[in-house]
Amino acid sequence: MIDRPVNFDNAATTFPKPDEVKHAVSYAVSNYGGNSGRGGHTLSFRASEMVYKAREVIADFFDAQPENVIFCSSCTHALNTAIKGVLKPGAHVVTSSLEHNSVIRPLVALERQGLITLTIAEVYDDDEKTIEAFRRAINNRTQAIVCTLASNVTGKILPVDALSGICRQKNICLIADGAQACGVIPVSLKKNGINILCTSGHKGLYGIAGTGLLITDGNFPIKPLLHGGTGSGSLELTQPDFLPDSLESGTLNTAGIASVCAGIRFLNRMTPERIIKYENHLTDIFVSQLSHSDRITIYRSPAGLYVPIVSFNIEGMPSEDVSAHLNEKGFCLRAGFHCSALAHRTLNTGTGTVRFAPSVFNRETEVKKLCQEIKNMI
Amino acid sequence: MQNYTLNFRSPTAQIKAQNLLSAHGIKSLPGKMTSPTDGCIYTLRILSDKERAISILKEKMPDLRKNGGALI
Repeated sequence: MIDRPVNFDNAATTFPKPDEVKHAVSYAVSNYGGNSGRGGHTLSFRASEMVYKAREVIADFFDAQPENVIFCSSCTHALNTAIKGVLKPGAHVVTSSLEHNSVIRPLVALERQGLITLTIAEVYDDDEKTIEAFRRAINNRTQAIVCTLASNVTGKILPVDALSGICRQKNICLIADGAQACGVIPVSLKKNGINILCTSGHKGLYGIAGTGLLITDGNFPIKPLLHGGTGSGSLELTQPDFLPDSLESGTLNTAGIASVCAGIRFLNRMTPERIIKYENHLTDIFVSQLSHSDRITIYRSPAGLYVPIVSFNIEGMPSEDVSAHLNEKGFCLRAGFHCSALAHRTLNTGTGTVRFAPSVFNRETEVKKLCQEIKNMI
Repeated sequence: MQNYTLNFRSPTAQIKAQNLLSAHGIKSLPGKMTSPTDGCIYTLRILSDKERAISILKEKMPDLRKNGGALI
């Protein structure tokens, strides 16, 4: 019997958080009471110093410059900023068939306004076929590829290095949704050739909700999504034209930023290699325990590369019913369409799927007990 | 004691400069002032070794003028 809920929905948000993150948030609320980058007094400078330190830690983690780290309220906010800020009217954009709504909805909105044209490239188990699909989709008006680094439904990792190589050859901007990849697998703007990386602060980076990051290599100008107070150029009626100010209007989420900084320090302390090895181990247990049943469909190919996320269905049982039953047993898994209409249409999942998404804080015993509960339902 | 104040348009550039100088053992004091023509100016008063401070910033922050750190 489980006496406390076990979170296997870490793809939505990681919980629990590391102790250093909890302490960082508490410390920030108690000590960084000033508004960063606004006043000329001690409280404001203390907050500014903490925020800049966070930029440095984040920039180092992703191989970027501190000024090119932009704090957002979510990955969705970051993606909207990047997509709407980079694309010019008349642009053609290529995206993938596994995208989250935070990518596809802004793109479809721009398309319906007549501002862009859009091609959806199919993602295959075979990466070479996926790369070829993207290559075929590109035309002489393509300004950007916008795609996820890893699917939030299946965990499938896209061949970003090959896609960034294509982008470099054709001077196309690569905007990457790193929400499920950052903090889980190595992600580097330089090594992976990403021009603009957007990610959540509260998933694999172990920060708190209300945080997101946009990190740019500076090669493609980004027009602001929000216009407002930045603490700089205050007499000018136009937005500053330098980073990070041009893309950070309004008061920053100081405690949230402190949490993301602490989360990355946690990752560095644990080392990303150990984390992915452990989470993959938990996922391997999950898949191996359930894959022999004829009544369970696991949406994963043996040949592909995946982050630790597994979607599954039990024959004859709607996904939400499975999730509700597991919830009664103390296991929290998200069912349904996971804000990814495209992915579920691509996979033809019917009523959606149940998603297993462990974190470094889950235990082998919890995974095995979960598997037993799933088997009991068959 | 030498005393020289650098001016920045961006509070981020101000803190970056302060950290850079601190890493090289040069003390500085952040501040802020306003100007009817330039708006908010984030200041950094160099408390020692002005020439070395300028040299370090020119080397480590070459985009100072472009990226909101215009030295006025």
